[in-house]
Order: sequence, then C-alpha cells, then structure tokens
Amino acid sequence: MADRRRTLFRRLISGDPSATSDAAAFLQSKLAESEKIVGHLMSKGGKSLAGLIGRFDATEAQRILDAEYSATLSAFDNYLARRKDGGARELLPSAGFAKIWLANSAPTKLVDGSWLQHCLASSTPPALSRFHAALFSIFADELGEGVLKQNHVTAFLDTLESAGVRLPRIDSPAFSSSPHLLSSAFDCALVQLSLSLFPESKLPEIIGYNLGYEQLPVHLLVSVHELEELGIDSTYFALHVSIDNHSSGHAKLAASCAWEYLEYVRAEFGEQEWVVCLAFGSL
Amino acid sequence: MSVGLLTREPPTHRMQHHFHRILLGYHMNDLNPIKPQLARIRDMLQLLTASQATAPIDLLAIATNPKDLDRRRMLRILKEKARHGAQIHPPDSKLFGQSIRTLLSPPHPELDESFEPLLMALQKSRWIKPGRPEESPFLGMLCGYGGKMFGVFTREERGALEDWIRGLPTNSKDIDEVEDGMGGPETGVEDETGGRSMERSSAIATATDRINSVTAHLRFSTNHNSDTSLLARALPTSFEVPGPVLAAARSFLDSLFSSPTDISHSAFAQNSLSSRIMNSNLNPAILKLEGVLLDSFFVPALHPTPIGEALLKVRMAQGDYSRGMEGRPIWEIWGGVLARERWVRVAIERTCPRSEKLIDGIHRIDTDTDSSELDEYKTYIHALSRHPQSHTPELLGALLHLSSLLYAPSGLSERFNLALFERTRVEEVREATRKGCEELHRRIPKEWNGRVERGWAAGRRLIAETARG
Repeated sequence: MADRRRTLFRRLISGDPSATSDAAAFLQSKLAESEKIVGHLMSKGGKSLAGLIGRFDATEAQRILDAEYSATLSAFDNYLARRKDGGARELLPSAGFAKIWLANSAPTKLVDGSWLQHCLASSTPPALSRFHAALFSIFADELGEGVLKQNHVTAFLDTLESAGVRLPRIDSPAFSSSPHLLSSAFDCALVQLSLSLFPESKLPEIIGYNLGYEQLPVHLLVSVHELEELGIDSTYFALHVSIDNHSSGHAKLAASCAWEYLEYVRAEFGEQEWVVCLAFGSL
Repeated sequence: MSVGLLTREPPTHRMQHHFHRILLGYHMNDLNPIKPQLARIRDMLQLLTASQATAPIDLLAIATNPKDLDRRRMLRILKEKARHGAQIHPPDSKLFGQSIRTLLSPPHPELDESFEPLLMALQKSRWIKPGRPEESPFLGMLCGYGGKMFGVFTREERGALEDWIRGLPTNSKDIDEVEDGMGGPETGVEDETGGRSMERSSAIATATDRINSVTAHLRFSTNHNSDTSLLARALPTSFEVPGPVLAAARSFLDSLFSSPTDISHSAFAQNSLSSRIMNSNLNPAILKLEGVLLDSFFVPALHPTPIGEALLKVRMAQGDYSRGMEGRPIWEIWGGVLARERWVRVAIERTCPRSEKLIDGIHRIDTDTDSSELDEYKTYIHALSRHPQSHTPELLGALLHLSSLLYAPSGLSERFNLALFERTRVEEVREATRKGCEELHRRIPKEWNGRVERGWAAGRRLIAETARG
C-alpha cells in the first residue's frame, strides 16, 4: 500500500522530525478544503458559526452551539423512538460491521487528543500560555490524568479487544500498511498529528479544531447504544459522552477557550489590524 | 487561500480574521473521507449477508477492501443469472476466447466462487473498460436499451456492475490507488491548492535564510566549538527544523555518546549543582530546557504505556502549577525568580505585586538564555528532543538528570520555596514532580539499562564542564 497518507502517518507517529514540512503541506491542503466548506456555509446563510464571519459575537456564537447541541439531543430522541418502534440498528447493523468500523476508527482514536499534545511547550510565548494551559488540561484528561487505566487510548484498546479486533502496534510499519484499514482511515489522525506540530503558528486552527471535535455528535450517542447491544465494551464512547458534556465538560472548556482567545486578540491587536486593513483596502 | 480572501470583503479587524481561522479548524472536523466509504461498506455487507447462506466470510478482511466486496457481489449476481444464461447463449458464443456456456455452467453452480473464471473473462474482454463504466460496451451496448441483454439486470444489479467496473484497476500500477479512488479527489497530500498566508511565507523565508546561513557555517567550519554554538542557535524550540540541521544534531549525539562517560549506577543516587551554576544566570536556561525535554516525549505511541503514564504525571504537576500561576509554565516562573534574584537578591520582598515581579523575570529570561555558556548542553537537549523515537532511553536519562537537579530534596527548587510563593502549591508540585520522576525511574525497562544512564551521564558531564568553565 503505497498511499502517501499511510507513509506520512508512519513518519509522524514515530516522531520523524523531517516529516514536519510534509505535515505542513498536508495541513494546508486540508485547510483549503475546509475553506470551501466555510465559504459554502457563508453563502448559504442561515444559522451557523460561518454566518458570523465578519461580525463575530461570543454570545451569538454560543447561542448557535447551544442550538446545535439541542438539535443533537432531539435527533437522538428520534433515533430512540425509531428503535422503540422496532427499527433496526442504524450505525452498526452487524457485529461484523462493528469490527470494521472500530478497526477503521483506530488510527484516529489511538491518537486521541494528539492535536493538543504540544500545547504548553516551553516555547509558548507568555501571552498565549493561558490558552495553552486550558488546552493542555483537556489533553491531560484525554490521557486519563496520568492514570493508565483511564487513558482514552487504553480504553479504546479495551474496546478493540472486546470486539475481537487485533491490530499491530500503532508505531509499527505493519499498522500503517495494514490491509484491514482503508487509506482514508488515516485522514483524521493526520490532521490531528499535523496540527500538533504547530502549537503556535496554528493556534487559532487548533482552538477551532478542538471546538469542533469536542461537540457532541449524534453518532457518538448512537454508537454507545449499539455497541452495548452487540455486547462490545463501550466505555471509550460512553466516556466521551460524559466528558465532552455541554454544560461543564470539554465542549464548554473548548468554547470558552475559543471566545476568550478572540477577546484577547481583539484587546491586543484589534486597532493595529484595522489600520493595516484600511491600507490594504485602498490599494 | 489568499485569493479567496481577496475576493471577499477583507476581515474588518484581526479578531474577525482569527475567528475565520478558528472556523477553518472547526470545519476540518467535517473532512472525513472514510465516512462515505464505511457507509457504503455497511450497505454492501447488509446486501451480501441478507442472501448469503454459504460459508462465513472473513468480514473484516473483505470489507476493508471494497473492491473485494464489489467482486463478491458480482459473483453472486452471476450465479443467480447463470442457469438462465447458460440456456439462452448460443453454443458457439465466446467470451475472451472461452465458451460462455461452459463458463455459465461450472461443476459447482451453487458456490459463488465457481463463477470466478466467468468474471475474469468478462473483466478481460473488450466489453469492459476498467474504471469507466459509462464507456464500457457491456453496459452501454449489451445491457442498454436495444441491446441483447437489455433488462437482464435490475437497477440495483446494474449499480453493482458499475461499482465493480469503477473499481477495476486501469493499469497494473494503479492497484493501490484504486482502493481510495472512489470517493473523488480527497487525498490532500498531492493537492497543492490553497497557498499560504503572507504572514506564514515571510516567516518561512526568514527562517530559511537563517537556517541556510547556519548550515553553510556548519559545512565549512572546522572548529568543533563553533559548530556546537551554531547548532544551538539552529535548533530552536519550534518544530520546523530542516533536514541538514537534524542530521548535524544526530551526528552531534553520536559523537557525544561514543566518548567514554562514567555510567556507574550510583550516578542516579547523587547529584549536586556547583555553586557557580546555582548562583549564575544560567539557571533560567536550564529550567527552560526541562520543558523542552518533557515536551519531546509526547508521541502517541508512548501515551498508553507505563512510561507515558509517569511522564504525564510529571508534566501535569507542572500544568497544574501553571494554571495556578496565571498560565505561566513553571520553568518560566522559577526562571523569572532566579533572574530577578541575580539583580536584586534582597528584593524578593513584599513591596511590589507578585505578578509584576514574575513578568519582569520572565522578560529577563529570554535575554539571559542567549548566553553561549550553556551551548553544548543546550544543543544536547535540543538534539535529543528532535529524536524522541530513536533516543527514547537517552532522553529519559537526560530528563531524570535534569529533574534531579531541580526536584531532589537538595535540589534547586528547595531554595526557591520562598515566602513569595507561600500561597501557591509550589511544595506540592515539587513533591508531585519528584515522585513522578522516581516512578519513571522504576518503570524503565531492563533492556534500556545502560542507554538511560548514558543519557544521564552526558547531561551531567556537559553541565559540569560549563560549571568548571
């Protein structure tokens, strides 16, 4: 399997320092794709964070996230109702597919939290370190606060074990070239590992990625439900339902981090940029 | 991206621009090319298992290969059509040189696998254009309206045929790519669109200039000491270090570890800092290097291991501390105090607000660490931190050594558990860090013995040399 994503994954996971420029190029291409999504959302109008571009307001932004959270909960209610009416499992119809799904989630889940892994590096400029400290505390949670048993990666390994999925060690060449994994299974992990290499120059993007990642998606709720039905250990997924909770958990922390960061930028640089933009506009 | 920004209204000010960047990160969560692929696999598996009563199949093996699923689905379709097909085709009709009737009536017509030869013949025949269902005469001419096989396949089966043709390798070299070819252009790595922000490219240009001049020096210099100084400048704490510098760092490590050092076991038990180090402005630099060491360990493969567990405890002790102290990492705070101490030793007093003193000290740190006295040691730590995978044991040794300077009962931190920090948890943090390091030491696997000590001894030697100098 000569896919470049597999090669880049192997280099990043083994800490190959020369992979940084490839990671930067990968990240750039993903950001360009994301720009298209944002552009589309902007032109579509309606209630979305993208609709606030150019007129950001923390209260309004939080209101949009709150609404999305409610929508997720009611989508899950609808799901439960369908199941109560005798509907079949929707995410994981069979134990066989559950294995495939879990195996292909492994590259991402086994680097859980990695986009935050170099926050609080010693090179962090003092002005930014309070944001790094907030992100680092989320990262430490992902790693079980130093308790191996509560480490999210350990929890996911337990899930794999309980489903009977055996994969090679994540840093072995056998993992990145595993025929049991689709090449596209490495995309998310690559985004995360690449982001982690630029804790300062890509701080806004990291804060944003973290914000998106920590929102509760409906498929997470469904996965807990359906894994339990299949008799597969769902601790990892259940953990994220509770730990990412909207009112006090990671979702909340991630949102405050984003809004506070923007407030900091406004207070620190707002005026200067205004001048630059005026000059730019008159060209 | 810069083009995109030009065509839209420019962001009114920097906050809005940063909000835009936050959203780019936010929506990167939506880029998940595996999702449609998994959904397709799920649907196909359901189709397969609904009618498949034959031997159980290795679902994980076949399903992660959609091409294989397409092929299996095709075999099942062919099996279902075979009986009728064998009767309807004239006896002399051929497919890729083989009799269609024979291909359609294999010895075990109840097994899907029996129709492999038929599928292979079809694949190789002129009726199929691999990768291009819409151009394949089989679908267009034979099965299309007016064709001899029109209506033979249901709409769903026709879809299966299209999927199968689309997944066929267009030439032998393409085999690997085809697997992911179905989701459209999504690979990203090859995608060079997007450009870079101006801010970024100018930063890169500056960095490249600096690195080029440094590597040029490295290449032509014959003086070992100046090599090390240059290396110390060229290995900054950011991650973007070019290849030649990394190679130079690697050979620096090699030369360091090849010279004989005292790696006796007692080295772990005792350690002390010379008073010169204790009282000099080198302290902040040393403290800061601990952060570099700790950070370099954060590679995902280490996380779910006993070593990773202990490392995180050490790092969290400092994370907790920094949260309590206005978000400043501990090495900066201590560094600040130390730097302050050098200037106004008596003046760590209660006159000015605590935070002001700290900030003052922190500002000093950055100028103080430019001192070249510690270049060899700095280079050592940075070079190690660039090679966390190949030099994990040595890194651990260097970390344990440095931590023993700081957190051992007679270590540096003891001296700064001052009235200034009364209300903070400095003692608690120091204890937690020390315990974490001890735990780390206990967990070192036997096969690393020798290498960990080598990392320790090199650090000790380089610091001692500085102290003597």
